[in-house]
Amino acid sequence: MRRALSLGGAYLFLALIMAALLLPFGLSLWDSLHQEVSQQEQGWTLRHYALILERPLLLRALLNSLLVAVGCTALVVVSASLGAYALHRFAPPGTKAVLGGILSLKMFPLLLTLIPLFHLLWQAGLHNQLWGILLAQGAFILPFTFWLSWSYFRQIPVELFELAELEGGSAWSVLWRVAWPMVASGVGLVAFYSFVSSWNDYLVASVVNQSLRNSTLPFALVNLIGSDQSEPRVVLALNSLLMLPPLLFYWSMQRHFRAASPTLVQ
Amino acid sequence: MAVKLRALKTVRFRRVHWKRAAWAYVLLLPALTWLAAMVLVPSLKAVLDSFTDLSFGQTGSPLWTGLDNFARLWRDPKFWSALQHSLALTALVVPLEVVLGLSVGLVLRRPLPGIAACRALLLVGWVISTVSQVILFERLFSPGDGYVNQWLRAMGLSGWARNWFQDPQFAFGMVAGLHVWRNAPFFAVNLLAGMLAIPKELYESARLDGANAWKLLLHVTLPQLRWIMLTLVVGHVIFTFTDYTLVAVSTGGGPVDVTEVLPLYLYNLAWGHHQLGQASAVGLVMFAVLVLFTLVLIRLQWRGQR
Amino acid sequence: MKRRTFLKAAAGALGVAGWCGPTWGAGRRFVFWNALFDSYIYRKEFVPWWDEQIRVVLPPYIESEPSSALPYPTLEQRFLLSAFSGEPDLIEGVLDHVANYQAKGFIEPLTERFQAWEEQDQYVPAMLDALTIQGQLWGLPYIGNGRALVYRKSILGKYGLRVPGTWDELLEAARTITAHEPDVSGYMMTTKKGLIRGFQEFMSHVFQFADRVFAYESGAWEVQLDVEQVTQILGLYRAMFEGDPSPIPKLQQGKAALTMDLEYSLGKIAMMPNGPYIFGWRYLSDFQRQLLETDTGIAPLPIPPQGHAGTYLEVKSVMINGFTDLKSEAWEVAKLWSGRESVLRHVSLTGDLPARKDVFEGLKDLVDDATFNWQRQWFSILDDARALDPLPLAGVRDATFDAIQEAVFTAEPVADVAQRLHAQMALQAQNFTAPVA
Repeated sequence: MRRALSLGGAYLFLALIMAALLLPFGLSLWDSLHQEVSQQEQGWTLRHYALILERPLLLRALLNSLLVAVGCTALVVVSASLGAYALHRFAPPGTKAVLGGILSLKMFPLLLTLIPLFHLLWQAGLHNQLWGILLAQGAFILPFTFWLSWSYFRQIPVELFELAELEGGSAWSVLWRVAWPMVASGVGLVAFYSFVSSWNDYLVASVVNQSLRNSTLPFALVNLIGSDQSEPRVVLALNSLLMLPPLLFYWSMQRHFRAASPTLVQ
Repeated sequence: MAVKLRALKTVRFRRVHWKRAAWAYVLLLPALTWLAAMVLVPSLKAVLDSFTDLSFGQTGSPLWTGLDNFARLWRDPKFWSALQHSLALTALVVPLEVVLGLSVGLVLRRPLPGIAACRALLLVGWVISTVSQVILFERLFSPGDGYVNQWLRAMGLSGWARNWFQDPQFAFGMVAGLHVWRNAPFFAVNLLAGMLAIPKELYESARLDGANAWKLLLHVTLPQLRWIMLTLVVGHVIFTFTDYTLVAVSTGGGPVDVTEVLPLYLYNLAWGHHQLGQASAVGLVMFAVLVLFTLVLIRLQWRGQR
Repeated sequence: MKRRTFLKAAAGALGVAGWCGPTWGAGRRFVFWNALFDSYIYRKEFVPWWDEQIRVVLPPYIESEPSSALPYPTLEQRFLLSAFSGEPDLIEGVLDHVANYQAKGFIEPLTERFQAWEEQDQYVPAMLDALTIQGQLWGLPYIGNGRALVYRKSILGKYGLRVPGTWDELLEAARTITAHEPDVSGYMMTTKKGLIRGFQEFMSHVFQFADRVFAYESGAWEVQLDVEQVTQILGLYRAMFEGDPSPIPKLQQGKAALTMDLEYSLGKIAMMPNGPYIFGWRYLSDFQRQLLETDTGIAPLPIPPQGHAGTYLEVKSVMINGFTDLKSEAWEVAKLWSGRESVLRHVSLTGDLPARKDVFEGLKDLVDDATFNWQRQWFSILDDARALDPLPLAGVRDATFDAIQEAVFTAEPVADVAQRLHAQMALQAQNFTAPVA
């Protein structure tokens, strides 16, 4: 009896949680596909999505977001993996300082660092460029992904690497042939985190880039809200499009999550 | 193999120590230069700016004003109330995330039918951008045709319908709710992963000693989760304390400044009043608070472990 | 993830990003920022024409950036950050922006170029005055507007209400409508913190007591209103949400301006303070077109007991970035934007009033009947419209938002709130620089 009650309770609790999580999505999607009630025409419509496709700037922003997110992820994964491997494998003097320093970098408010960063990028000729956005975003994603990568590498005993080296091969080939396959799942998660962070980023992209042709999707979305004569449902439709890639990526990563979740722990 | 390992440790290690260190630094180079150039240098510049009167579009170099900016903050009641709101929000939100995340993780630990689907769907709120999240919630809670108010009216509770995000009594709670909705599942996923990695033997031996479910939780599960919990708590304290977008897009700091938190106060100084020096001072204060908090927490953890 | 696949993907991504980087940022382009191009009707009716015309005006080696737009607050922020880099070359903005940019030395004075232009006499003097700071002209105006009471004729008629002429009449009329119409608010005001329209609505009422907010007298800037008058204005805000039912439903506290415009056009609001630009909402559906073209009336804003007719004047203009090296080209584009052809289109698409007399006077023959009828009602509003002083008003703005919030959301005595606001305004005034003689 008690078992049944506790089971029932668990399911109820879970149902509430899942409802709270999923309802906002469902309702918003529903709205984006239906006409505004006061228009005196109800029912399904694709009009809100069609209005988005009419705007070249929004489509451009979509492409920009994609390019930046993919490029940023690539760079971040490479830098974080190499660095984390180095710290774990060789444990050079200053390891603790590096790890602590990277953590403390996260604590300085983003808003403030952005303005001097913009000036810096301008001097390097990178402001208003997709490359500039990419590099700036990556810089802020790197601290967490570095730590994450390090925690994955930590699971592999150093001796394993040394053994592989003994059996022939440079440190470099050891990295590729031995280390990489072992942390593949973890690296997948790091890539996921980087992509999602870059794709969703609003602040960095909007401050570092002032030109409209290179703006990313979250920025375009926020401006849609604030612009004259924009209908709320068009905003919802664009929002749905914005949420799609991270959700798709998340869904496709389920395998990796299940495989790698114990490793998230260490 | 064991023989080989022992051999490794004694002979080669010391001789090529410097070579390894060099290799390490080379591999660290991309990450470190990237961070140094684009985060460290601007941050240091911003720190220096907090001691000047720098403002937007200033002609000529900014004047060094020493602790003036900080003195002005000290005297500004709005700064103190923003600080208070930030601390209150963080103090409300993070424990809720811990408790909720832990509860959900505990429930999801059981191999019941349908659990896998739930586990899979947990992070949907976390992967979308904060802007997207606010848009979803505004649709739910808008005063006129928002779903929540519509349901309340349908149930005959129209007296309860309000302009949720713009109500002085509820706005703060709404903002806290946004944070928890987003981050509690993240806690759940990570804590669950941690729980799954706890060796079953620990539980068995504790049960043999006559422990019930509650004691198991307190004396087996939680201690094993110590480090993950620490990482998650520090990470989310930083997020909640420094988040600008969630609050700005949903309430704008209103009404009557009940949700005015430090990041908004900073933003207004920089963009509204163009006082970059002053804004940098606020940033430095925020940084100091976070560093202090982290150090205290880590100190407590070390002491706890002994 | 296989190593090979990953390598290929990474190489591909970097390659594409590398290619796109230079492409996306190459060449010398003429960059023009404005807040209008993003609206549905502008993209359909104005942008194609503009893209053609601008190619004629610019030298062949300079391309024009694809037309796009940003809302005004974002426009201002980005310009402040980006101006020194020379981009954008030309920027559109409201009066507030002109004062702000000029104070920082970011824009180019236009006086010489303007006076050398043969069309200079076409411009409405009041609008030129609003754009003149320290004796120089800083923006080339193209449209403007004053704020008035916008109302639904059918709803007022249904309850036998006269168009309100005083604040008391307004409160009563609004209360009646809200009480009897389940889905309609009798009146609406912008009360969400931080929205510029809310500040402008407040200022409209200020101009019902004085012609200027601040004036320079005997060596100092003085606030032109006394505490009693500020108390009255805040009292109006308070009264709007008092009573059962209140003239504005309590649920509508913290309203945002754009939501207001949309809801009026959808029939959910009976009366509100607004400008001619609400007319732009008619393009979205037949329902909205009908409502705005045939069922909407205009009247001067209701007057307070000891006040007079007065309202907020907005002038929209284009300004040249002081840091660009394409100043002459920017001036050519500015003249195009503010030229007769262009202003005509602006007027029929936005509903705002032209800054040029040649469009003003020949309006009947140039636009459709609906637009002409609309414009005609707004002409007289301009007579009592006053512009804000070109002063750094950020501090005054903040203090005003605080006061409005306190009046609307709390039960604090309005006199105390007014006292604080007045004191803040006087304090801010102490920091204003003295005007050039």
